[in-house]
Amino acid sequence: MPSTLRIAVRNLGRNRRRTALALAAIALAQIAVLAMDGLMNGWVEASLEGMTGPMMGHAQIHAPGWREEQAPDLVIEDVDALLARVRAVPTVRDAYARIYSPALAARDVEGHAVVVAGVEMTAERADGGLLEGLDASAIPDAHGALIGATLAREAGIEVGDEIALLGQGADGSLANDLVTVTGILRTPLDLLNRRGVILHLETAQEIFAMEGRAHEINVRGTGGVDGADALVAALRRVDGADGLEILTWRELAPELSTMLEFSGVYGLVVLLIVFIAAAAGVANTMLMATFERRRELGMLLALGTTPGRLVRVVLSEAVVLGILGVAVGTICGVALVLYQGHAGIDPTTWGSHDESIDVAVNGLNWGGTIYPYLRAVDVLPGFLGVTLVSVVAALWPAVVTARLEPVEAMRS
Amino acid sequence: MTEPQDKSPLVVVDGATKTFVTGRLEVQALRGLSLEIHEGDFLALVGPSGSGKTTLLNLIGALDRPTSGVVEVLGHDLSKLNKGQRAKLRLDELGFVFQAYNLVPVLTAAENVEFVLELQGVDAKARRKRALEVLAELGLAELADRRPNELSGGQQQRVAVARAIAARPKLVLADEPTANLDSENAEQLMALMRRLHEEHEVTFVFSTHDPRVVAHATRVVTLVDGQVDSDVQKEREAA
Repeated sequence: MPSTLRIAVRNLGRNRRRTALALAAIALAQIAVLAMDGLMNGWVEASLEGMTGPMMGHAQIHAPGWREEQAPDLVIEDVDALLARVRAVPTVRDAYARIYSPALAARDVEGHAVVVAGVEMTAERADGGLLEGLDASAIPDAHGALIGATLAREAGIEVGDEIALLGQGADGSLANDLVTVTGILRTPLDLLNRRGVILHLETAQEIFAMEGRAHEINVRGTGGVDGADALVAALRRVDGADGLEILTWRELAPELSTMLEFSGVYGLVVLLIVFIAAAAGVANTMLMATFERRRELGMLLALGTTPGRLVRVVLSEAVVLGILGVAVGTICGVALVLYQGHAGIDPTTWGSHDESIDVAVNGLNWGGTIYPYLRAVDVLPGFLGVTLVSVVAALWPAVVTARLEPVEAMRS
Repeated sequence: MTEPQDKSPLVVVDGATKTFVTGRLEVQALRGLSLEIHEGDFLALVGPSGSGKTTLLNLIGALDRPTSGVVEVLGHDLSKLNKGQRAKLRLDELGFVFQAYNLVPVLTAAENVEFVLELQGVDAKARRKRALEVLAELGLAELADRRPNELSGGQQQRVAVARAIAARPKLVLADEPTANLDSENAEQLMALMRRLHEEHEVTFVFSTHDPRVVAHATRVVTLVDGQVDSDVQKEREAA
């Protein structure tokens, strides 16, 4: 081992308490970086899962203008044939035809604004469907309905009640019918919980004069959220898709997409703050260590050590300190994130709330458990950054000392 | 009292002045001092505190620059050398023994001796061999793996001498090398330096207040108020 490195390593043992404090500062910085990265990864994944879940999917097909106007007559014609062709696309995992119609629902005289969702109930029980996990026995008969739990509570509707639905048909006619509530629906989808009345697709088509038509084909691809662009490109090549609006989840919810991207910037800001904290810790240690040993360093200069080599001695110490601290921090940080990833973090348990503090955005609930996780690449920024910061922090005292005349340093 | 010298000078100091400025206060440590040091000298710089002994040693050792005047060491005019060149001169041609803070505390005795050799680019095996040889010659073989805090003051200074001569310098400068030693250790150190001077013909220049140390010198230069007051060649007293 060259004496430069030997001196650097052994110097760390001279004031063990100070070295331990500096190591702790650096390690804590890396732990904070990794914990933050893990939490962001988990949050982004949970968010993407929520965003691209049953309500949004990875892509959607609509008649042009339906998203903006929600007009009942803006429909996809001959939806069964188109749905069959969409399902035949190799990169399509699931596809569902849906009707969404605003309506008034009344058990007696008081009416409530609802959204009637006509869905393929059997198909939508699959993973990623709107009725994911629904027991087969809970599927209503042709004129039965499932209603959202919040709506049921607020409207005083119970299973077995008959409710009247009043809306507008696709042909401009008055749409109305009586349906029997066969079940109360509790889903992660806030829109359905608060305003949802779920009917069979065929029933909704009949009520709203939309036979053979639907408002939306909701598609989930085999490539997940990252494969949405390729999925949409494939869907645009499907016969009968000409003239329809086909959009990825990013295009459907650009504000959420931006929010997720912004979370990366937020992570960088946190990283920067953490680096500054680490730099302060290392700079303090290196400044004290360097100035305390000024006479000794002067003696090294007197013996013929070049200023460059002296800088290397001090910098080597900072690098060893930085790498050791980051290594300890990485081990502890990875262990912490692994534990959190196993146990999960439930934001609804924060504070003193007895009830869920779920946040609903765009009809989706954001209250689920977050499972932090790390990718191998997440360790690198902290490792390189904190080590680099340690070196930069040590540079100043090193250069100051190296610029001294040996006799000045020895006299100090 | 200066006697003529027939040997070539290793060091020529001609009209050197050195002024230290502290705030508004100016202190003239050397006032036009001139001196030649010749190969083979075992020279003691003596004089009262503040007479300029350490300042002169620092100039000769290329550790500092004169305010005016000329300091030539081994043919190099120090005023014309940059910092790196002065560092190389110290490394290749000079050996140092300081009063205190002499050894790198985190290196063992052998590693301290090796340090200068490593700076010179000597390979690991050769420098280890040389370090152990020198330590053995100075009776320190059994202390080779001890760190400075495991050595007595006298042992530390002997290791410092070992380091100073390990690279076979032409000139060894020692600033009050016995100041922190008791009489017995001071005597041992001087006897050692004297042996190295006689056996290896190393030129030594050392500053001291101690008359017992002066007794070992073959030339005594007395400084007063930053100038040479006397320069005497003398017979060395028996060890």
